Amino acid sequence: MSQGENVKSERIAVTGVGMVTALGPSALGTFERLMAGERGFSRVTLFDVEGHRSQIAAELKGLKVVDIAPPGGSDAWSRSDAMALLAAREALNDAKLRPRDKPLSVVCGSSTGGMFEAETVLASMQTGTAPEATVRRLLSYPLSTSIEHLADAFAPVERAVTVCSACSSGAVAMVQAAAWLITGRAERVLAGGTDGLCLLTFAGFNALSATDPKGCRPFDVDRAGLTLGEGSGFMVLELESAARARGAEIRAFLSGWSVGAEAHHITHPEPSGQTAARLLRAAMRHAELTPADIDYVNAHGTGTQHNDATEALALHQALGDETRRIFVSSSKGQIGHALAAAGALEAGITVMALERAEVPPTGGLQNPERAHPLRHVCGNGERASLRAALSSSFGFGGTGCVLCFEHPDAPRRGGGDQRTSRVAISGAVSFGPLGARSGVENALYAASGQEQASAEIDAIALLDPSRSRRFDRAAAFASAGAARLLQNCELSGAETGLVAGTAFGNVQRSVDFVSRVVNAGPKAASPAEFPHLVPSAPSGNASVYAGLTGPVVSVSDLSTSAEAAVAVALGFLELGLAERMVAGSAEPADPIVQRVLGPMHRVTNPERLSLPQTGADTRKEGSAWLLLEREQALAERGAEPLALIDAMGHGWGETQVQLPGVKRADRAAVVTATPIAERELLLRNSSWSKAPAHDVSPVSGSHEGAGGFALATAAALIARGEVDQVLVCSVGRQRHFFFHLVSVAFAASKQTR
Amino acid sequence: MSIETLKQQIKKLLIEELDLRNTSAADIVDDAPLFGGGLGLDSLDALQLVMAIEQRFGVTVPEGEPAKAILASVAAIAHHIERVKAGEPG
Repeated sequence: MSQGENVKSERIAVTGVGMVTALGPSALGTFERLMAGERGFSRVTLFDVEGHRSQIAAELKGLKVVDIAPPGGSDAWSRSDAMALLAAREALNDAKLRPRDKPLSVVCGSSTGGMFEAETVLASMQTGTAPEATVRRLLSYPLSTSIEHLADAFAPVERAVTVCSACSSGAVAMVQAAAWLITGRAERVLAGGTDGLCLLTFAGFNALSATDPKGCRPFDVDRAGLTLGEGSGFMVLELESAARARGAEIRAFLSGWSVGAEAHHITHPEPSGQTAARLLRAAMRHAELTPADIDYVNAHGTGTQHNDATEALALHQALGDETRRIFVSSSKGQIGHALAAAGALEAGITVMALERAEVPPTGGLQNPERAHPLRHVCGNGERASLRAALSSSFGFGGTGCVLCFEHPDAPRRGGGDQRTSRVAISGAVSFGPLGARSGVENALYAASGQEQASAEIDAIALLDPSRSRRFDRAAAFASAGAARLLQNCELSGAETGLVAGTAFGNVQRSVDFVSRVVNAGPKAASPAEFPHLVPSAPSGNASVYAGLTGPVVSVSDLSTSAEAAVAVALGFLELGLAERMVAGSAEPADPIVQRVLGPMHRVTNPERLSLPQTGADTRKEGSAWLLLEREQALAERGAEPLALIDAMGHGWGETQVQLPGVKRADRAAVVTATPIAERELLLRNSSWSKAPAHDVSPVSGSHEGAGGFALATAAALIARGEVDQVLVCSVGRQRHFFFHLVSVAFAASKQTR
Repeated sequence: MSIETLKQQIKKLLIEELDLRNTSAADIVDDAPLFGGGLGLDSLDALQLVMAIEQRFGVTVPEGEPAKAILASVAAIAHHIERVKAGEPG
C-alpha cells in the first residue's frame, strides 16, 4: 500500500490456535495437561547431555520429521520446521479456513532453526570436508526455512517473514501480524514461533548457570534457573470484519501490544523492572484497558533468579494494587522455555485461558517468593472467568514484548481511524568496499568505475572498546550503523528501534562454540560466548551499545535480509511502536557462509545443489543501514529527509511489480542488487522496465546484505537531486520486495495533482 | 612456576577471555579488585573466568560465595590455583 493512508481501527480476531509441546501435539492436549499440573520434563535423548549442569528438558519425544516432511524431502526439514508445520496446520484447521479464504500471510519467530540438524555437520566441516549427503542437512539451517516450508504447504501465501528477538520472538511475530493487518496489507495472518532443542542452546544456557537441574520453579523462593523446552505455537489472526464475513468463531481479540528494549545488558534484565513495566503499561494503554480490566497475566517467568525478581517488581509497578487480584502464572514450569516459540505458545495458552475460563498453574512452584507477592496458581489450574489477559515475553539483549488479549464478548472501544504518518529516510550509512559512507556519499555505489574498490573495514575499531567487548563483526556493524545514524542527526536512542537483517547469523562462531563442547566437553562451553552468537545478537548488542529502547529485532530472509528488515521496521513505525527505526543488515565475511551456505541458498532450486570448489572467492561483505523516521517526527525536529518512502511491496511467489498507484515519471531510476535476468522478469509489463537501472552489486559485492546498499544508494540519488523517484526492487528465492522512494518535491507535486 | 609467572598468565587470560582490548597486562594491578572496579566486569565475566581458569589451569572453582573471594583479584586467583595445585582444599 502507499504510505500515509488510514490505518484500520478494526479489532484483530484470533480465530485459530495450534500448539505442539512436550505436553502434547495439540493445543487442547497441551492445555488440558497444563491445567492438570503436569510437567513435560525428562532427560534429553536428542544428544549426549552427560556432564551438563542440567540434563533435562521439555523434549518432544517421538517427533518423526520424515513422516511430516513431503516424501523424499526430509533432509531439507529440521525438527523446528516439522513442529511449525504441525502447529500451523492445527491453527488453520481450528480456524476452519476454506481455500477461498486464502491467501495468507505468514510470520514466524525463530532462533534455533535447523541448528540441531546442522551442528554435527558443521562440527565435522571444521576438520575436513563433509560428504555432500551430510552437507544437504544444511538446507534446513537458515531460520527462514520454516516459512518456506509453511508457504509451500499452505500455498498460495501473500508474503512471509522470519523474526528473531531471542526469547520474545514468538510474541513479536504476533505484532508483525498486527502491523500487516492494521495497515491493510493483509486480511489474515498465520503467526507463530518455532524452536527445536539443540546442543548449542542446551550447552549455552547450562554454561550460563541459568538452568535448574531439578526442573524450573518459576517465582519459587528456591528457583535455580530455567528448563529448556521445544515446540511450536501458531495462531490465525484476522481482521474482525474478515472473520465475521466468513462466519468464523472468534476465540479472542488481540487488542494491545508493545515492543521495546531495555538497552541495558545482553543477558541481565535491568533490575528496576522499569522497561518491563513500561511495556506492560503500553500494551494495556493500546488496548484502552487499565489494570482493573486485567484478570490474568501469563508471565515470562523463566525460573531464573533475575528474571522472576525483576518481572514481579515490574508487575507491581504496572498493575499497582490490582496485583493482589490478578492471577499470574508461568507456563515454563510445565512446557519449559521454548525460546523463540515461547511467546507464541504462551499467547495461545492465554487465548485458551480466556475462552475456557480456566487459569493454568505455575508448574514447580511450591514456596512463592515473598518479595513482591503475586496471586499464583499452584498445583492444578483454577476456574475463573477472565475478561482480559496479558502475555509477557522478555529476551536476551533486553528485548521485550507484551500482548494483550480480550475475551470475544469484550465491548468494542473507541479508537477511531488514525492516519499514519508517511515514513522518511532521514539517514543512510554503509560499511562496504567503498569504506564507511554516510548520506549522499552512498550514491557512489551507483557509479561505474568503482569495481576495483575494496576497502577493508575494521568494524570493531569503529566502536568504544570497553562497551563492545565480545562483539562480533555483525554486532559491530549494527552498533556502528545505529550510533552513526543517530549521531549524524543529533538524536538519542530513546524511542528508536532497530531491525537487523542477518541471513544465517554468525555461523563460524556457533560452530566454534559447538565444536568446543563436542571435543572438550560441556565444561568447555563458553558462557560469555553464547549470548553473542544467537541470531539476535547483532540487534541486541546494538540496542545496548546505542541506547535503543524501541523495538529491537533481527530478521532472517536469505538474500533479501536487508529488504525484509526495512519492511519490518516500516510496519513497526506505521503501528506507532517507535518514533524512528534503524534498519538494514550486516553480512560479514564468514568462511562457512562463503563456501557452503551462501551458494547453497542462493540457488532458486536447492534440489540442484552443487557446491563451489574452494578458491571461488567472489562473495564480498558489507553492511548498510537506513534511519527511518515518521515524517511528522522529522518535521518536528526541523530536519530534511534524504527521501520519502512512497510505497512498499513485499510478496511471495509471483514475481512481478505490483504497486498500484506507483507510476514512473521522467526523472526515475531503478536501483537494485538483483541480477539482471531476475530483475527483468520482475519489471516485465511495467513502465519501470524502460527506466535507467543501477545494479549496486558489482561494487557492493554479492552478499545477502546487498539490498541495503541498493536502498542507501537510492536514497542518496534522490537526495542529490539526480532523480525524483527510484524503484528499489529485489528478488530472492520466492520472495520479492519493492520500495518506491521519492523526493519531497515529487511527493508534494503528486499530492497537488 | 613462580607466582609472578602465574600472575602474568592470569592477566593474559583475563585480557583474552574477557576481551579487554584496551587493557594491557601492566594495567592490571595484582591486588586491585577485578569486579566493581575500573575494568567494568560483570557476572557474565565471572562465569567466563571460572570456565577459563578451570580449562587453562585444571583447577575447579566452587560456585557461589567462595567463588567471589577467589575471583576478587589476580593475586587471589593465583593464590587459589597454587593452593589447589599443592593439594590443599580449594
